[in-house]
Amino acid sequence: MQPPLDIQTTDGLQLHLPIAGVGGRSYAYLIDWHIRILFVLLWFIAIPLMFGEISALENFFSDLASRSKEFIAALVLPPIVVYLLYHPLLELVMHGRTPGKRMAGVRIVTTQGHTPGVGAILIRNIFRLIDSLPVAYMLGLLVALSTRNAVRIGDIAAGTLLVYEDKVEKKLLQSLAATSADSGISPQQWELIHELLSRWGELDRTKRIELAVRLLQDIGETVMPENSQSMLDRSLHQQLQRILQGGGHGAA
Amino acid sequence: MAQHDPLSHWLEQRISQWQNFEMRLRRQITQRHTRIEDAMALVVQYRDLARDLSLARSLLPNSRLANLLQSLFMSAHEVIYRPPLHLGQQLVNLIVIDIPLIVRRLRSAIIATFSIFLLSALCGWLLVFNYPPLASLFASEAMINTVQSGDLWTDNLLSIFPAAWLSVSIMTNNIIVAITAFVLGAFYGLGTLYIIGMNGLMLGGIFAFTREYDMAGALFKFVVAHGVVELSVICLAGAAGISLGEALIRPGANSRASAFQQAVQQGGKMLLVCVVFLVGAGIIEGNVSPNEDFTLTSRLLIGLGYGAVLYVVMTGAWRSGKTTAFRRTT
Repeated sequence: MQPPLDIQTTDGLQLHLPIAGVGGRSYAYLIDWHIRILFVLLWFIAIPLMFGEISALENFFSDLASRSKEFIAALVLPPIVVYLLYHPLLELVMHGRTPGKRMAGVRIVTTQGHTPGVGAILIRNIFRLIDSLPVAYMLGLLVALSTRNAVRIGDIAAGTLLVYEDKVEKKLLQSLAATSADSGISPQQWELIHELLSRWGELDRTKRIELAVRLLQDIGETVMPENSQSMLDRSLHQQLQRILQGGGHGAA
Repeated sequence: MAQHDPLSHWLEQRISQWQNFEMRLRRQITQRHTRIEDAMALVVQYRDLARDLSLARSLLPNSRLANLLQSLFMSAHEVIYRPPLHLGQQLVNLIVIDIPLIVRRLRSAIIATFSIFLLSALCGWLLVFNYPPLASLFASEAMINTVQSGDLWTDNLLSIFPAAWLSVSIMTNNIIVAITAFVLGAFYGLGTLYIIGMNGLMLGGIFAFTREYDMAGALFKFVVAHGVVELSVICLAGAAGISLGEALIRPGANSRASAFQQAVQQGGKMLLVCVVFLVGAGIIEGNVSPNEDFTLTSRLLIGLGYGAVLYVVMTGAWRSGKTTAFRRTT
């Protein structure tokens, strides 16, 4: 487990950002790599079709030399441009993220925890040239494995690192506000309901029913009996969700 | 929430403030122009949020609420403390202040790189001059065959490729060489030395090879218009690369990582300007160099003139009085 990045703000607060290790980094890269490969494959199919040269699909490599310059340019240039600009462009537009990074739940930040600027993003990307040596980012991985913040050479050069995104659910504040209005739920209970719902799928059904019943009784909710365990399970889940939306809490 | 619980009471008091803060923050992030009152109100609310976050952390550690407040706080911290974006002014500062300063700092690395390049060019020339078969180390078989048949490989380039295509492909290649020369400096400068050395050897070797067939003059005529800037820029990128190696070998008072980072930052700025000059060199190489209508004199004028522009921008010579004053104040 990677120790978090500690940032002391000028306001005297200390912030802790969980650093993404080699696993999170590789996972994000693999997703991005597959997206690019998928684009190239689709492009290689689309361009011959657009030029009306469906036969190019069958004899793709053998016929390439005989094709027109325009055809080869249209076929080869966009994939090269996408391959080279995918990371810098998306990292800029998506504030330190790419689709792969977003799916892996990581993002690039500066050592102060901020979104990196244009300069830092360009630098970390041109250093891919050596991070990718000799093959498959081996050097970058070795450096990431041996550095405290699990960073590759490009990150050291740019003063950036990869951290896990804050898993703050959307509309959490609205949920808190809705629950807070004339209800008898304490902040700790609100937290417990969220925790239970977020882990609902991972827990054993009997266990989650037991926990939900105890929690509902604690906050003064009536648990309606159901015919089967599966129906009770579903009804408890819905009841907890309603409470978080501020609509189902009648007792207290 | 529980009415008599002080924590619940505090939450009820603060939630509307946080919602308001979240809305105001979103406006600051998404809208380009916002009112000064809004920005000031955000700063005031930001201080309140810092207090709330501290409280939430101590009362409800590792909770969703504390995470939510930290997330809000971090976004606000970034918005409040980000430097203002004055792209035009930053560009002017880069050209007027940063670049001459960086060039002055890297003076010894630049001199060393140019010397290594010239020395390798001399070595390449001597090698091929004394052992002509070694030309195959620096030139492809097709190039050798063309020269042996009495032509330069650069002849009739424009009839084969359109000037625009030629320019783009040449500038792309040159930019890649410059970037490679820079980043390979991370291998303690050795990678950069290799790139500079090989480019020098190649240039010298090819000139010696063409001299054997009385074509060195024609090659010089082709190269001179774009070569002055192109080769200088490769050497400047190399100097930036060497400075990376130097930062790693002797970081001084800083940590090795921090010295490396500083060297990358200043080298990166210089590289950015170099890339702009390479675009110009690519345009010249695609349009002027292969065009037989340009005489040697006009090519010399273009090459030396463009070289002079590079020199002036890099050294800040055009405003030497002001930079001297700046140097005295820093």
